[in-house]
Amino acid sequence: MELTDKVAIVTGAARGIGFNIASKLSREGATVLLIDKEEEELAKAQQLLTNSKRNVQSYVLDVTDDFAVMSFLAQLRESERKIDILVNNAGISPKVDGVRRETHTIPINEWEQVLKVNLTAPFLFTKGVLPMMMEKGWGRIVNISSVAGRQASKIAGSHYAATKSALIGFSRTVASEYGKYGITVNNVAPGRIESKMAEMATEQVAENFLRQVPLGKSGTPQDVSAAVLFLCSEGANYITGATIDVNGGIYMN
Amino acid sequence: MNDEFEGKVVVVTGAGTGLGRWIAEGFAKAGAHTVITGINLDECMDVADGLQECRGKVIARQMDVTNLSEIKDTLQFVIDEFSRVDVLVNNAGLVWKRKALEVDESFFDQMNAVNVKGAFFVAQTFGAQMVQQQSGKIINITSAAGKLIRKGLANPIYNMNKGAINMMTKALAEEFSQYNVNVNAIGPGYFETGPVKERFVNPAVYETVIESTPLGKIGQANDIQGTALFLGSKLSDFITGQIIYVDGGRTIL
Repeated sequence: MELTDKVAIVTGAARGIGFNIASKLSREGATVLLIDKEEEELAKAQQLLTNSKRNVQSYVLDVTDDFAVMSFLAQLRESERKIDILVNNAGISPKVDGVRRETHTIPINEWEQVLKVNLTAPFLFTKGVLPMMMEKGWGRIVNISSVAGRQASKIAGSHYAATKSALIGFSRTVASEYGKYGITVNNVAPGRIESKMAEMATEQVAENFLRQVPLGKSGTPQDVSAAVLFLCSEGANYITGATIDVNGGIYMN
Repeated sequence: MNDEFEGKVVVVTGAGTGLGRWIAEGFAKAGAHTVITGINLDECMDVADGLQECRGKVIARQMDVTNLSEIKDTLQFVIDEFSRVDVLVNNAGLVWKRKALEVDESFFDQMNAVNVKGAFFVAQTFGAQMVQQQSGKIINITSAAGKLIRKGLANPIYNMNKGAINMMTKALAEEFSQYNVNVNAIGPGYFETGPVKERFVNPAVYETVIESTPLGKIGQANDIQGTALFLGSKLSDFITGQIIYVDGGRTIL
């Protein structure tokens, strides 16, 4: 197993893509700390993985609660368990009846909420784990961006698109700062993936999107987690600051 | 990835030396039947001889990518032997270097014949077989030099050739997507191959390269093998038309 003895954090791990990432990392032998704010779903996720003999622990944490996130990371740092892998997956894409708000109607509190979950939380987790990774001289950070951060967003709102582009710039810069410590920082940018978030869009919106995907289908959470696992593996040792687009060809980088 | 490549048929061009050789070795060691093609049969046979302990068959085959009938004959040879082709690594290339003002017609034509025309007809020939099979993965080898020019490191014809490969990757990805054939590219940075080692005889060149590589090192065999295996495997089934830079972060600076 490729990730034996590694400790990983996955945010938004209770369901969908995040759960699948946690499942793959733990299957490869990593101890995975599952972070989510949905207590019941998180408990179910932990149960499922524990039943499969995976080494996982869950933490009910709202990633927009700066203080809670920072004290969680501070405790980790003091404990013996240092983090090797961070996957910033938690994200939100608010819609009204399955359709995005146009920019002139986005309330400022919704804008701020999206920035907090999708951008500030990845910053806080990254900031918190970097010193642990620097001590080890090894680290893997993977941020889950989106095709909405690569081209004009077709389904999600402009706040979501802004944060997903921002993650790419953030990753590149952190990658250039910490490469010398053996830490790589990359993105996976999914297109349309079968998940709760994707289901929020109306069928019409989804169909219009799919018609433009060269491979003619939605991806699965497995397609995304495979790319995340690859970036955490030894095989990706020489890749940093990169974005792997898992989108069926709708945007070709 | 385990047994995924057991029984799979992989063809690598320019596999007698350098990156092509390493990639071919990666697939052979992963259990694939591997066809080592190159312009110099002796080199290819040396590579194949070193891989005879592998689980799959490893065969050397002379193929000059500027000779269209040799490309066709090689496909026929592979079909006679294995009845199919699962992965094509379109790697053969010339890395000659000349300033624009020193380029004559013959230099231009030779570079273009291998790096662009050869790459296209190899992809077309083996792609046609994959289209017929309704499955396959094409991996083009482009370069970080197809994306950026750094002060003092321009190589105009090579830069142009690799830019062409990038667009060829996207255009073929679109055309072949309906046949379940994925087309992606790897953009290597500096790897410790023969021509690069020659350039690093000058310590100033080596220093410049290391300083402009966030991970602060030169790529080794396993660094390119990981990405090639990922793009050749089912793990990347929802990825098409993409270029993955394996360059220690050079293209983000």
